[in-house]
Amino acid sequence: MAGAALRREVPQEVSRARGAETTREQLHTLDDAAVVGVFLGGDERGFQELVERYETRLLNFVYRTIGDREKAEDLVQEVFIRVYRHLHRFDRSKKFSTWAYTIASNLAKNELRNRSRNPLVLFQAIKRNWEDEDRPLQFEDPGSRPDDLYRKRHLRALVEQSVAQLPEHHRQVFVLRELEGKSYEEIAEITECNLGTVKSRLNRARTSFADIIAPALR
Amino acid sequence: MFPNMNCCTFRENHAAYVDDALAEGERADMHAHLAECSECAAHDTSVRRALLLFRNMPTIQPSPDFSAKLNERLRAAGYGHGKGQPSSRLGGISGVASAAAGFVAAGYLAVAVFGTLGPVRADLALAPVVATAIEPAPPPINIYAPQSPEIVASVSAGLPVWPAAMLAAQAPLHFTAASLNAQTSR
Repeated sequence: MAGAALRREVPQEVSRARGAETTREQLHTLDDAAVVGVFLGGDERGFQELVERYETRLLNFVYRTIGDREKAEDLVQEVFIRVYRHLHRFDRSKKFSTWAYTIASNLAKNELRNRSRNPLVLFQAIKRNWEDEDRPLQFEDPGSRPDDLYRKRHLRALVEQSVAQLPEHHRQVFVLRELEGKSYEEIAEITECNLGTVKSRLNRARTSFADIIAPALR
Repeated sequence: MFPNMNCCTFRENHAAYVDDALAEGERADMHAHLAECSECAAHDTSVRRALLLFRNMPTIQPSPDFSAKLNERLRAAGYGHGKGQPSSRLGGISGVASAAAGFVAAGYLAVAVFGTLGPVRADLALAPVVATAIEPAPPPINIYAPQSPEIVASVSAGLPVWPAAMLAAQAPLHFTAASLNAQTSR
């Protein structure tokens, strides 16, 4: 079992935290590295804290990359399973978030690759999104007027379609920068390419996105 | 500083310009080029507007059963929660469910043993329920039985109808008497 192996590496900050009987409030105040330490020290609440911190961010990143909400949720769960399984191998001199995003990025890439090989999967994903668009208006935002709802939904669909038209390697860089606010260096690490490539891809992605969506904004 | 600023240099460095990642001198060069090149200025505006739209996209939230599903998948993968470890929210879900089931079972047991949940407080007692039945339809009115109490009771206008009913019942007699009087007077 991984748990026994994990408990061997108990850092100082973890010992301190455990000694004081770490509560959830205390966990909230710790940085990622310390929370990782809490988990490696054998306290499962450390893992739960990591899930709470990253589930929404990773979900949005994967969703914007692959465009299928249900599958995105499935992949994010897979990210956390891998985190749970391999956290003892994680190089703690690096940022946990970069590692988690790297796993998510690779899973999203694999998903897109599988889709391109299997048209049925792609069709099912598109169909699910159609059904999503068919939802009654009142479920979206009960406080808004119908014309606002229509306009918002139309804009949202337009943006999603425009992002989907970007090449996959441009899209990932674009989403990591614009939605997740990652630095160029972090993006380079997550996508496993050099800094110059990141800058070039980001520049092209921004220009392409603006060109695609511009006619609709006039 | 950019040695030779032109549209190509501007476009190449536009991402860094938008992100405020250029050095002071480079930034000034880009700014100066924007002021003199309408095409690059239009490009800059177009990119910034598009990015504003994208950055303001609503974020999606994980489904409510995200943690439960993850917990299930971890267990299925053989990563259950260790014995003696503090309970987490993930592990706590099953723990809370067990505790709740225990409380419910204890409640049922108490009811079964004592037969009741305890004395009913007077201020919490519900008002007695009054059983009601549909009122039977009234029998048809018989104008030849004017004394019948149903006729009088069924008048909603406030005036009893029995005098009229009596008049109607006696009408043939009046008509006969009237015709006899007319014949005798001739």
